[in-house]
Amino acid sequence: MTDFFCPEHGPPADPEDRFCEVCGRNLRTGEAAAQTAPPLPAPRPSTPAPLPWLSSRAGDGACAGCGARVPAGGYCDDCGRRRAMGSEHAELELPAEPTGGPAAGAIAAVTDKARRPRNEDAVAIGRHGDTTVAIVCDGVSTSTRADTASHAAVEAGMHALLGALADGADAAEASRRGARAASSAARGTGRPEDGDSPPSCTYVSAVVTGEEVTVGWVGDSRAYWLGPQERCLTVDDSLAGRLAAGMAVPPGLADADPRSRALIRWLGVDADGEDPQVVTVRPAGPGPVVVCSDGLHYYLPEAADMAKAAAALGPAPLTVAQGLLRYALDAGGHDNIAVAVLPFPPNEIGVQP
Amino acid sequence: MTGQPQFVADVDQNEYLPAGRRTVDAIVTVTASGGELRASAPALTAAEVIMIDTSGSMTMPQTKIHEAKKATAVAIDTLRDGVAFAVIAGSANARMVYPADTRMVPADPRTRAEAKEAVARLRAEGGTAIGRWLHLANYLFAYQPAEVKHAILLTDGQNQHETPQELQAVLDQCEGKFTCDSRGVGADWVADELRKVASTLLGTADGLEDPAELPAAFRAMTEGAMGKSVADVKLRVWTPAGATLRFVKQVFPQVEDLTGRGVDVSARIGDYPTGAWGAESRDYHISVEVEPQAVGEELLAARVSVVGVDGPTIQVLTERLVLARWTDDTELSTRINPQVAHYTGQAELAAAIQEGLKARDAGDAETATAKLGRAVQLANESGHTDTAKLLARVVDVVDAPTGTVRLKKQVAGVDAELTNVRSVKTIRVKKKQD
Repeated sequence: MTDFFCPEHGPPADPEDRFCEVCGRNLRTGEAAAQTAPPLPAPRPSTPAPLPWLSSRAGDGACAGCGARVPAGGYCDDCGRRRAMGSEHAELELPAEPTGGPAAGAIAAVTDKARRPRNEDAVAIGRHGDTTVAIVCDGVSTSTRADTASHAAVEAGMHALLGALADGADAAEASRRGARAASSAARGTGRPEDGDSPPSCTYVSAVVTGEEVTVGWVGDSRAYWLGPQERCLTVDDSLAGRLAAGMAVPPGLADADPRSRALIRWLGVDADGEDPQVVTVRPAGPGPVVVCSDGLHYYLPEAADMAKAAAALGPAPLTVAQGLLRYALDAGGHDNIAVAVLPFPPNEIGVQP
Repeated sequence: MTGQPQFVADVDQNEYLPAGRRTVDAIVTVTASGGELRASAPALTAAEVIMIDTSGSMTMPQTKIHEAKKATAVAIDTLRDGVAFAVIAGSANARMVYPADTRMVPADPRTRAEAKEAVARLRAEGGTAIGRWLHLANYLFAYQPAEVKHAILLTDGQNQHETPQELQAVLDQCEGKFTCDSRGVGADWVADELRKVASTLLGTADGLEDPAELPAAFRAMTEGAMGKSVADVKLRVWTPAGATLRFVKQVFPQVEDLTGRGVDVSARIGDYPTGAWGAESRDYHISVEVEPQAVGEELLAARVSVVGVDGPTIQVLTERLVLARWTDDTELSTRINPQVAHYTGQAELAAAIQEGLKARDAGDAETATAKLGRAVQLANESGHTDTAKLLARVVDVVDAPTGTVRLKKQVAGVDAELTNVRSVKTIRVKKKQD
């Protein structure tokens, strides 16, 4: 029997607990924990051995309702609340490989739920040989369990894209295979009872080799080239995005508001299942590639502004990613943020243009 | 694992709730898989006790005792070799028919022949005290290690020679020890008594209009018991902290409220008895009241598993989730789940019949007319033609869709009892194909 419970986070998982697992309040005295800044979730511990890829999917963690331990995407065994797939905050880094043979430089990604109740953005980074890859998926907030779609898509996409590169496919073909795998994975998260709003998400991948940068996308998450002659490499799959890029009005949208930023393509059960758009560029010199969700590009839509912000943040990809995330949070952080930074060419550790 | 029966569960619900709503309803269909189950599962050890009414009224007419003897012989022939069995003659007392002493014997060609001979010599005389018959059966089963313990009870009259309290006390002792199917024959059995036996001992209850139906009924009940391949199955229901389990009801093939029968496994988990399973399918209605969450949030309202209990070993055979998701989209939250609606109606139908007949017996014509009228309306709406036909024996149906009825002046006693005992039988709605 316990009569002790936290006024904010309910009874403790173990009746013997003296402190609330969530906020540290002393349950016997009711005294709140010493007020310091809320602890930032620790970044995923980086392993010394280079991993093929990393994703921002959360591991086991505390239930937001009662503090009990729950696997990501699972239901709390005590209070029944679903735990989101996404980490509230995650930092991913694939470190530079030791010298000897073709070495890929560090690539990094960060994501944060910002002012949303949970993180429905997902990001993965990986590499094959000296080719580096980043993928960002943004869960469509009006859809059901969007975090399941974005995490399934980002991981299936990365797995298939790296697999295609290993099979000898070129970057454009690998990008298409990644997007197709992501599409079927997102489709697989739908259930018959989801009705009109099955889980859905956007998708954008960037593949960086020694000569080229290839991006593939469905939706409005973006990839920017921020080296010499910086530019946004993707065209948003919205009516406004298509028109701004000088493209024709997509069929059936002739009467829609030309300023509409509503998605016209996405991944999920109710998606069109068509291939992604794929673009390849050959940069004239070294520089960073930034892949991000609209939680960042809403505040830095222009490539020139994004380039300026990135340049001020210093060479290390993780520092750039952290700084851009901080920029979006400071600007309002109205939506989940996911951002990955890849140096071009991949063996350039510094990304200073 | 070869020979393991396959259990599959499905959940039917509308998981979308409007803001502030607390109640989550779901229909869980549990199916133990078909041909393979019976063919490859190792036969469970079984014990069978047959209780036949030998009160004096069984000779009025003679066909009752005659068909009852025939039916008992058929049941004996249906027993597998090695199944322990015994036959009890029931009157105001209980008496061993076969074997002669108070024990059970394994079925083989010799014991079957001896048992049938003993049954053929039975004579009907004396009164009726069902509790004493069950008490003897319980005593016999207590010495049996069999996995499936099943009894058949046949009576033709009211339980006159003991008090309802005495019967209840025996039923309490027997609960969980064996299952029992009961049948009434003739015109004087009482539906409430048979339903109580069936309910407590997780069996079925029915009345037979013609004694000639007895042999087939006895064969079906014995075959059912022989076909069980999982002895002790429980429905395990987890509900979240702060939730209240409103009810757990079996709703197909018959309505059986299990809510009060739960045994707490932990603060969140309760086990509800379902008895032994063969190749069959049953539906359960689970209703949970949860703490409402903010719009957009999702909650696991219940986790329903089917567990097999084998001594200290508990095996989860299948598991399904019942979810709650709050939405401001009224198009989603106002959708009525056809299964939930159907079984809510079937449970109301059973209650309306029972309450209506009770009011009729008590001389409260007004309540009886209202309740039975509602029953006619529900039976008509759900297409439950068997029940509609039975109801037409106790009321004159003026207009079924509106439930307008008149109580019949003359009703044969057995018609009211049949309507009552079968009131709990439900039908399934045809599932929409996705």
